[in-house]
Amino acid sequence: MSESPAILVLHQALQKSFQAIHQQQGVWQQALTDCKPLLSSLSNLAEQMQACQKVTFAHTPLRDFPDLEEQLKYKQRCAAEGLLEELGGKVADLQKVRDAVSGYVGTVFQLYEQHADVLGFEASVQRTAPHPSLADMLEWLHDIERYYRHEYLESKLLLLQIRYENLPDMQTLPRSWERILEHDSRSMVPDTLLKVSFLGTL
Amino acid sequence: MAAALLKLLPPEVGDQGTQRCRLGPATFSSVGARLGSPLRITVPGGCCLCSAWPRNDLADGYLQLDLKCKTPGFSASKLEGLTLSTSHVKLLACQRLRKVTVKVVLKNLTVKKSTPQATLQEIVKELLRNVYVSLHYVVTAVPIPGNPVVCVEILAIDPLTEEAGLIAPKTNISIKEVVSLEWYRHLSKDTAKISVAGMDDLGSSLKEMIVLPFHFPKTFKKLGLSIPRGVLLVGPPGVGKTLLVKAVAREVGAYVLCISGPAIYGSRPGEGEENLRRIFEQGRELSCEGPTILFIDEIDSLCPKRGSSNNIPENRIVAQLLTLMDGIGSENEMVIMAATNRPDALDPALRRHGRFDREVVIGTPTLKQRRSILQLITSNMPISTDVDLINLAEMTTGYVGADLTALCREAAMQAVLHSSLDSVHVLINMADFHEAFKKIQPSSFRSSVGLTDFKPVTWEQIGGLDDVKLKLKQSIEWPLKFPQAFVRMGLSQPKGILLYGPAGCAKTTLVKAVATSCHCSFLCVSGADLFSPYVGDSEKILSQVFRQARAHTPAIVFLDEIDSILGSRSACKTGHGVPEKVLSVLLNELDGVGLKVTERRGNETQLEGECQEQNEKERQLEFQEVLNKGVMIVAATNRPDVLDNALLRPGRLDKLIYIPPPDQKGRLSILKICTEKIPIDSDVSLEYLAVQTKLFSGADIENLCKEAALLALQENGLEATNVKHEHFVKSLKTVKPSLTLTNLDYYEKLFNSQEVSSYIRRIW
Repeated sequence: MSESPAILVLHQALQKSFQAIHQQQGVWQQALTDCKPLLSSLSNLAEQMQACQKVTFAHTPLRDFPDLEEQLKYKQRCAAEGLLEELGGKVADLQKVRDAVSGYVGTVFQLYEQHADVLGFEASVQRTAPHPSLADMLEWLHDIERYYRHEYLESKLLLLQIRYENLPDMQTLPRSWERILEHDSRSMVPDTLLKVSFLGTL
Repeated sequence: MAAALLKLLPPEVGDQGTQRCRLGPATFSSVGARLGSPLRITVPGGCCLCSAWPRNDLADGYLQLDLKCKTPGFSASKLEGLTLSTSHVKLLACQRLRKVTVKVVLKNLTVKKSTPQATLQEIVKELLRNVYVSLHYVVTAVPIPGNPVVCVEILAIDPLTEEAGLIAPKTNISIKEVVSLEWYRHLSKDTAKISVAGMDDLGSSLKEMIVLPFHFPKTFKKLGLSIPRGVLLVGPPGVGKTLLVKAVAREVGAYVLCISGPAIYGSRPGEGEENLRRIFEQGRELSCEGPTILFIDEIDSLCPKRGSSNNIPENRIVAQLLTLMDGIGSENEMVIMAATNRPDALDPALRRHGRFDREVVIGTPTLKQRRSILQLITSNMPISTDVDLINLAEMTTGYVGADLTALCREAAMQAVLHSSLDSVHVLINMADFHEAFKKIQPSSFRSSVGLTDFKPVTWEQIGGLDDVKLKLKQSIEWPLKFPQAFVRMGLSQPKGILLYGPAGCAKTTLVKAVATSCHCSFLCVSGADLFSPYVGDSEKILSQVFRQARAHTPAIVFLDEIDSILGSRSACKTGHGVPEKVLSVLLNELDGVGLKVTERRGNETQLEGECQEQNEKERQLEFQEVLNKGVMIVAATNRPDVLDNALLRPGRLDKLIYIPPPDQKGRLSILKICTEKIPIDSDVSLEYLAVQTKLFSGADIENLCKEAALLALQENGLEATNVKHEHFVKSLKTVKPSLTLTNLDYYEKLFNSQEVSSYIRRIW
């Protein structure tokens, strides 16, 4: 099968970017799983805070300790802030992954733009038994980038919605996180990576 | 290959929110696109921007669109089963944008309040990344849980381009406006202007009230002005109160929240109040976003007087409304408008400043207003050139906007009925309007007391009495028809006319002739209409008659047999009878201090002030309008002596016209008119009869002719063809005159006038 140099260049670029995405996917997954325990501790904390709000200290034996309520609340708040900070760090990791992937995808597309005229439309949609077409692969790249962006936005929005005033919602955080993790499209990136594993053998 | 057909299919699930459109390879090459290059697809009903991608199965002849970026108002439902050609798909050049200005539409108000600006900026940036946009297109946001943004409208792009602009990560995004979805829908609704005529000044003042506080909130705050927030529109039904509110709201883009009585009341106690509170809360929320009008139509049903109705739920609703109106914080711009035609039935607490600050009275349209309303209605009707709108406006006294609309509709119907052909070129001419005019009566007259249906009588049908006719014409017709002359001579219109004279001398017929000859409302009141067993009812009916007459000026109120309706305060000792009360009402109506505020009509333009730029015709109209404001009373009696002196003074019934019994010449003309339909023999000398019928009144002469005709039938059998002189002579013997000399003397003594005695002398 005779291939034009343009196709080869593009294939190389695609290979590079898919490899990079493979690495990034690991980072991404790691960050997501790291968030889980943090969120469950946060929800526990929320439960404690709620309990603290419900009880009237003057009616319990604890009334002998002065300022107990304030101190307790302060401690809880501090712990929650610490957790949120850690979560913020994880989200920043996610953002890094997203930006990196966007960068790779952008480069590939730029390359395609440069070679598109030489390549012609026919060549870019040509498929063979072992090789998907260039159009397919570019589409996958797009899909992957979009997936990262959406996931990032969704997790970010979830964390932005955390309010101390809304403790019941805070307690359901781990469940909401599970929902993000178990998204229909979660297997999209590994699947795509499997599809393009032939590139390594080129 | 130029225009291959493309069948539209629904987009694939995986493509949703990707802005992709799937094309077959043939289309791809015919358009000349590359992978991912922007395309504009034009379909009936809108356009959308997509990026080009080949179909996975590389099949041709199909098109799948993802409507991420589209023109506003374009929905996916319009795409079903559509077939396009390749000419609808256009390849665009792509340009990276430096800056976009956007309007963000959020899910609802609570989200709008809780989302901080920085977060919103980030979300919008994320949503718009790598999206092709064009000016005024709307980008729909992907449905991510927790995403507050529904869609983003592109207000401005830099550099400005007709082609597609790509929003790159470096593009600067500035959010100009943030609105909620509900408000956005309201704004993007069909904004065809509703036009109202004849209420320009009212409309502009209302508009000012709604818009000014919204546009210049700081100025108002600085001046310490509390913004007027309530307007009560008062006017008879059909004058366009509701329409005015709608038109103003449409023009300033305000959201109208309607409250209607039946929707408020609920079955459970307290439900009504709850509903009211909910609606006010809704209005308050909406007013954070833009001008909002809370419109309460028929407020009299919602807010009746509390004292008079011993209905506790209603009272509670009134109280709730009052507190809600007070409770509106001045920081929002909700304007409350209410419309009613029974302002007196409202709770007085509602009509104070701070609640309904302004009361706008919309009266029955005046001549000029009617003309402009007619102009507006007929502006999109095919009207032939012979239709004179001014004439039409003159004819339609007492018609309100709704009646005029009905009139025009009826005229159009007439035109359609006349033209037997089903043609497009139907012209409405004046005859159609005249035909419609017979059918459409002013709606306010439907429940009127004094409305009468009478057979038109022309001046020629009354024999003799030439100088009386002249006098009547002078005092009634002239002021209506030649107002300029009256103004020039410094004359004012006479308020009332009393016709008196012996019975049977055509007083009523004369009034009929007056009503026929001048186009004006004619109300006829008799004792039967007025008197009722309830205390105070008669007075109320009489004042209602006058109120209606004033609404329909120029109008004539005819009081037949006025002596039986009114008593005299001097003659009657007690002075507490119903007739005395009716008299006092009449005196007040004739020459009272002023009009009720709710009866105001038209706009108070100065007669001199605006005259300069107007042409001659306009000025004439203006004259008529000013002069025709009055209501004229015509009273008839044959016992003027029992009338109260106060009634007869100038300014009330200021013109007393004696209707004399016919003199010889008059009798002759009456005989001529009476025998017009009777076949008389050539030997009948009407002159002789006229001499012989001394002291006969008009009615007597008519009776004489009838008797003679009957006699002819009796004598000659049913086959009689004409009435002979002998019949007249015979019937002269049986028919006796109803007038007597003493009777006439009495009239002579009554006002001791030269006139009367001269008449008596002439009769002899």
